[in-house]
Amino acid sequence: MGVEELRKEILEEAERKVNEILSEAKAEAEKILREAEERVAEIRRAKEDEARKRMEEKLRSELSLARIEGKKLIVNTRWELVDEVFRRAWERVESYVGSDEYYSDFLPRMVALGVSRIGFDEVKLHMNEADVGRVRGMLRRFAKEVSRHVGRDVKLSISNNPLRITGGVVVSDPDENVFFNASFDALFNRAREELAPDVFEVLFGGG
Amino acid sequence: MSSEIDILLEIEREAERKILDARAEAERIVADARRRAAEMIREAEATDVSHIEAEYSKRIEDEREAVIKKYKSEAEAIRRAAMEKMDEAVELVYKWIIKGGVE
Repeated sequence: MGVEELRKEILEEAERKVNEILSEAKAEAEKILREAEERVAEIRRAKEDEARKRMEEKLRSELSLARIEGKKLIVNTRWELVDEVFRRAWERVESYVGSDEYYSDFLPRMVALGVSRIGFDEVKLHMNEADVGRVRGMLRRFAKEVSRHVGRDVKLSISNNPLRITGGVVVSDPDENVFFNASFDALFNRAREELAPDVFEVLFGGG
Repeated sequence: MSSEIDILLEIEREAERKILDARAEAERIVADARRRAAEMIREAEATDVSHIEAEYSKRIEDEREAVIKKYKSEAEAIRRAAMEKMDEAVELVYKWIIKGGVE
């Protein structure tokens, strides 16, 4: 074999080796990029899934809050209506105070009830200033009406210290140890506590 | 004879140089690919999801408003029905007070 042939063979062998090295490197580079693309898709998918999951959670939480807010609105609406009932009832009570029926029927009835409750035949009446003046002027007739309700004679006196109440009466024994409170203010407070369920039933019972 | 051996040795060195150059080029190709892959992954790590957040924010607002609207409408219906029973309820309370809280 001549020098030229040997030269040609050595260079061809080198060229084959070069091609093999570069081809392997390109394949390796393609593999690296392909794997990177797969990883990129995986990362993006995970990021988007995480964002959707987070936002779904936020959606559920916001809707839950909205439902609570809505239910609160319903409850508040109902209580506003109940308040309106008591407000209107109180207006009627205020109009009733000072009427003829108030003096001829309500007060004697309440005093009679007080007498029965506290168990004294001699009682002291505590009222607002207007009622003190009015009842004092008709005490005999008033006592007779009370006695008629109780079914026996009752002795009445009127306290000289008027109460700051809208109307009604507080009945006590003469020494002011035992009291029966039939002031409208107290009755109204009791009504709010005791009648709220009945008012609810009337307004929202659906009957 | 000696000169032929020198020529062949020179050819061998040239062939080795070509192979060394090819190895260097191969390392550069792989290193470039690794750098590019790292860059792609870094970019992916910083993927912007604001479009998803914006889409959900709109949905949250719409669905929230729908829920509130439903309850407002229910509250209004309750108010209308209750107003029809208002006088009856007022009468109940008024009479109870006037009777001194005695049933």
